[in-house]
Amino acid sequence: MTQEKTYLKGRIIDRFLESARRYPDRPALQKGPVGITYAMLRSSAESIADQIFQSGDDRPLVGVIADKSIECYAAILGILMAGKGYLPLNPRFPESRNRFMIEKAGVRSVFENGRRTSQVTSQVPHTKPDPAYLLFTSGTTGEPKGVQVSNKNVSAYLDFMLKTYDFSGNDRFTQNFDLTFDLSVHDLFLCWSVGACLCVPEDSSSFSMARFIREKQPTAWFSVPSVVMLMERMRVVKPGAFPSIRLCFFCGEPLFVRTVEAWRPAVPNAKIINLYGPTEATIAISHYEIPPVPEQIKQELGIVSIGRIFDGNSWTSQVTCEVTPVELCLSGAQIIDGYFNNPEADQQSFFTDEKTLDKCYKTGDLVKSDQDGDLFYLGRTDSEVKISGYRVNLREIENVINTYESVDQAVIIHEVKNDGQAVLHAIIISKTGHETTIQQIDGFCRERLPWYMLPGNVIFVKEFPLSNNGKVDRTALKEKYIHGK
Amino acid sequence: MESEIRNSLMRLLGDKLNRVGIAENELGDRFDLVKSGLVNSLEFVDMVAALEKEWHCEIDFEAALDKGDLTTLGGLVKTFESARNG
Repeated sequence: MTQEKTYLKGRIIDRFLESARRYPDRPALQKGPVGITYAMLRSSAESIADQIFQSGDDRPLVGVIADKSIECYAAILGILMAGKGYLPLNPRFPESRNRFMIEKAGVRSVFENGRRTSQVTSQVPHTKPDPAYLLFTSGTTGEPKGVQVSNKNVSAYLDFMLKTYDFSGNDRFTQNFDLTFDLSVHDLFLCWSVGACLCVPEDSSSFSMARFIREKQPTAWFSVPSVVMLMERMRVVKPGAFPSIRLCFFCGEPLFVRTVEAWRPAVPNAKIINLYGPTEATIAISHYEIPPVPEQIKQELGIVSIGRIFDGNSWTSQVTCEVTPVELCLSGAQIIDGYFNNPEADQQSFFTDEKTLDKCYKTGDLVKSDQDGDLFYLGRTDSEVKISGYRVNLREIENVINTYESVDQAVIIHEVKNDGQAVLHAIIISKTGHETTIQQIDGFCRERLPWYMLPGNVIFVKEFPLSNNGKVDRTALKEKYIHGK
Repeated sequence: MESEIRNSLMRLLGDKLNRVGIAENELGDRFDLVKSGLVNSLEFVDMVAALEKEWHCEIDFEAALDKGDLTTLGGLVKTFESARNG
C-alpha cells in the first residue's frame, strides 16, 4: 500500500497533531524502557498548553528546561500548541548563561518536569512574528546572539526533506542532538511529521551509542561526525554492526572521507548524506548524497562536499570576479528575518541582493563550487570555529576572560590535532602587579561558559607578538606557544 | 600493579588536575572523570588508548561500560588490572 504523503503548510505543530489524529496508538517517543504513544504525547502537550493559557502569559516565547525527559518533549509541543515559540535552556549550561537567555528573550514561563514556573524579566523584547523557537549562538561581543526561527522557516526545511528523502511512518528516528542545538528540530519534527517513532538515548554520553543502535534499531540516524569518530576509537564500528539504519545524515562539522569509509561497512543498508547549514538558515540548507564508491566521493582536502543548496533557497557570494574561495551568502525560505533584537548584528550579517532584491545572509563560511554546482566548505572568514558541532566564536571567550579582574588581555587559539580533536588554548597577559592562576581562570570560565567553550589549556605570557599593523599576531602566537617554535 | 596503573593515569591527568586545582590525593576511587567535566568523551577514549599502549593490553569498552564504573578513577584502574591479568 502506498503511504499517503500530504504535508501541511503553516505551523510545525500541525504536523504533529495530524499524525496524532491519524495514528493515535503508534509510538511517538521511546526513551529506555518507557514508550509513549501519539495520543499520550498529545494529551501531555495539551496540559502544558492549558497551563500557559491559564497563566495569562502573553509573551511570544516560553522557556523549557531541555533535559530530554518525556515531559520536556511534551512541553515543546505544548508551547507550540499554545501558539508560542520555545526557548530551550540547557541544564548543563552555567546558570548565568540560562538566566541571560531568559532575560534577553523576556520569557515569563519556564517549564521543567511538566510544571510551569514564573519568571521575572525586565525586558519586553520586540519579537518577530510566527516564532517556532529561539536559540542563542556564540557571538563576538561576549554575549550570545539570539536566532529566532519561524514556523515558515522550519516548514520549508521539512517540506524539502520529506520530498527528497523517503521517510515513512515505519521509521525510527534517533534523537542524538541536544535540544539547544537546532539540528534536534530535524529529529523531532521530521519524525512526528510522518508518524514515526523518536528514539531518545537513555545515556546522554556517546559511550553507549553502539548499544543504543543495537537495542532500538533506528532506521534514520542523525549526528555530528565526531560521534562516529568516538565510536570508531571505541572499536565498536564493525562491518555489518548496524543494519537497521537506512538513512544516515551527518551535519554540524566537516565530514571527513576517512570517517565515511570507517562508517559505511557498519551501515551496509544506508544512504549516507552530508548536510550543511548554519542556524540562521534553519537546520540545514545543502545536501550531498555520498556515492558508495569511495573514489567517486567529491571532496576537498579529505573533507566531503556539502553538495547543493535545497530548492526554495539559493546562494550567492559578494565577490563577483572568478576567485575562490568565496563567502557563501544564502537567501530563500529558510533564512531567518534577522537576529533577535540585535540590529547591529543584522547589519553585519544581512544584505539585500541588488539583482534579486532578496535578503541574503552572510554565513562567514568560505566555499568553492565545482562545475556541477556542488559546494565545498573551505573554512571561515572570521574567528568562529566548530567544537563538537557547536558554533564557538573565539572572541566571545576572549571577552569573558578579559572581564576577570587581574587579566590584562586574553587571546584564544583554536588548535585541531591530527586526530581531529579540537583544543582551545587561552593565552593570557595578567595586569601589571597582579598574578592570575590557571585555577582562577578555569573556575571563572566554568561559571560563565558552556562546557564546549572552556579552554583546555591556559598559558600565561608577558607579551604578545604583534604584526606590522600593531595587532596581535595570532599565527606567531600559535607557532610560539602551541607548536613551540 | 594497581598503584602503578593509577600512577600512569595520574600522569596522563596531571595538567588537567592542575588546571582545576585538584590534588592527586584528593581524588577518591569514585571520582568520575567524565561526569566531573575533567575530561570529555573523546579525551577519555584517548586516555584509555594511551593506557592500553603503555600496559600492552586491550579492553572491551562495552563490556567495561556494562560494569557501570569505567569512567570512575577506581573503575578504570580495576578494568586495566583485570585486562592485564587476562
